Amino acid sequence: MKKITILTLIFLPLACPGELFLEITKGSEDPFKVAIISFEGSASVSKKLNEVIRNDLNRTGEFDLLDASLLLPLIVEENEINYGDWNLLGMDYLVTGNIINMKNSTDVNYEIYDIQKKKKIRSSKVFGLPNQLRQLAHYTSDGIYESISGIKGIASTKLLYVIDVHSKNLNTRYRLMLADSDGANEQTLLSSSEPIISPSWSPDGKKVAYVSFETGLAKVYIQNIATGKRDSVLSKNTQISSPSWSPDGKYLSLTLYQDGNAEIYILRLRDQTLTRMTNQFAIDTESTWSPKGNKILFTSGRSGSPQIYELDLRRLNARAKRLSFEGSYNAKASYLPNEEGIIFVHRSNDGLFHIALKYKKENFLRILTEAKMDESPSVAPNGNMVIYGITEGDQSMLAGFSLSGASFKLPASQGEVREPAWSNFLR
Amino acid sequence: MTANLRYLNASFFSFCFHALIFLYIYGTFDTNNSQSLLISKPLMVQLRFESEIQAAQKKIRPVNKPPDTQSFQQQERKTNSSESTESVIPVIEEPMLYSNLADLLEQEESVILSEQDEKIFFYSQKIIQTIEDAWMKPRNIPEGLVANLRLNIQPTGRISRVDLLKSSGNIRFDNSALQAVRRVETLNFFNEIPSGLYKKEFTKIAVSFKPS
Repeated sequence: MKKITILTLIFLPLACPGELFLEITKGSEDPFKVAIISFEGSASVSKKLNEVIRNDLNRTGEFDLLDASLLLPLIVEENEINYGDWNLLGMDYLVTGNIINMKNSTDVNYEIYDIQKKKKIRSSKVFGLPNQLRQLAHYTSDGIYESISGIKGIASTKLLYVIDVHSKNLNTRYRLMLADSDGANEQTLLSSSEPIISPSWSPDGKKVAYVSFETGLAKVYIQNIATGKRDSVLSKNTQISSPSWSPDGKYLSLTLYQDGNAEIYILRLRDQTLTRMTNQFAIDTESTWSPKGNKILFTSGRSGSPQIYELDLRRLNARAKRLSFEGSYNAKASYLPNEEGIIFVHRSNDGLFHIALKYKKENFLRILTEAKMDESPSVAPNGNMVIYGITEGDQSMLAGFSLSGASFKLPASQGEVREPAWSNFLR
Repeated sequence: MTANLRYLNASFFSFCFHALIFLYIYGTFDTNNSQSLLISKPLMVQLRFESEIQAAQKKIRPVNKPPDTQSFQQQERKTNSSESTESVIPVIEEPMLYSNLADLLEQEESVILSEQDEKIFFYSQKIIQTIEDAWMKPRNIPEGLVANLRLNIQPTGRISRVDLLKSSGNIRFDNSALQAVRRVETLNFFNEIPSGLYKKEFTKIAVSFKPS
């Protein structure tokens, strides 16, 4: 497939071939009932914008949107709103808005009304360049989501993932991809004939780190998204893998194989100082940082099977604390943003791999997914959604779920999609 | 020096002012908090209470003659010993029953004392039942969360205002509690409540959401 640039994509409809497409498979138990009156504006932009906003809100699983076909697209004035009628329809909130399309900018104005309190709870304006319509829609839906649920929206965040494209002459291409959180606006950051693994976001969302085998050895690279400029991290003649950025962006935790087995190191990016964090005969790898940056999680085989450990970085010579005790395989852990729990891959007694959640205060884990081979979960910055890799038949693709019970799939049009990484908030 | 003093004063006033704002937001001046006793006893636990109160009532009624503290204590001891010999199986539940016995006696006394209190108890149970029916506990939340709400209720039973007195720390949990109250909207049995009683007890109530 030809490389598609962003610019051409912007003008294509939502589910154009080659793009990831969303499927809502389940709603949460007690959604907010919201009526969105289609935003009025010039036909060229309003259809697309309304569609993206509705899809974003549906995907959260926490909203039950009134069927748009039931609503007349009329501009409702504040003093004309008949709260009693909306209440009879069972609505909790009403959203109205309009789009003003000017030559150099597109403005979206929207209002949110609380039906029961009978008042306006938000009046906002989002503006941007006319060719950033999707982004505008994402910002709008994030605003609606946040003012109703109290949780920051993640529609305007981005995803990284890797696609393995198998062609007929058996040469596999590996692509590092960047896309909107709904799978749209796919963009290739790197294409290589050798495997790419473990993509990781810098906290400011401007750079990515990943492992590439292009030199024959596993090496970590940092690439600037905007400029495409990339540099190899550490010029050591050893395998380096699983990079993870500290929340302040100053450090990178890595796995190095120079000591005979995999050990975790922390690299200060400013002067390339390496500090060894683990010293074990067993494998230690897959480190991730706590949101405050004072701890790291990692997977270690020191107990005889892969289990999750936590290391406190503030204490000198601190002993790693084991966090997972259930079953014989727990790996690829990351923290929820408020650090109240961890999300990881767990192999259950029937031998299947699931995504699991364990709260710090609880001594049991909660299995959150049902497929057979779920892998590499990545938590959205609002802590409410997780994206992960699944295998259906012989096709691997991305799927996501919210902790409140909604789930969706991002089926790939081509290739094997794996190892998603969710960005931070990008504003 | 004078300038420094002025800064000092200014910062002191600023501190006081901000402290006041903070305390206000925190709810220190909110006198209604104390009233939360009425229904803010954990929803589920209170339901369990009911049967226990009835059990306690049955036991105590025949010996309800003298308000003599000594005999009362003896009585209590008697029930203790008699129960511990009687029941062998529910060993775990017993400590809870005993530790609550004093409270239960007190509560029970007040229930008997006046018909009004009985009514309060009755309507409180009804409110709890209605809200419990409307509440859907969100999935995948940690155990042990508690959220307290205060409801302002109009004489018609319409809930005119909901405030979050104490957040559980989990937004989804808080939302589910607020959403439950939202779904209830109107407590339709409020017209049965005598207006005097309503004014005294049911204009503002606090509810605690605490899944067991």
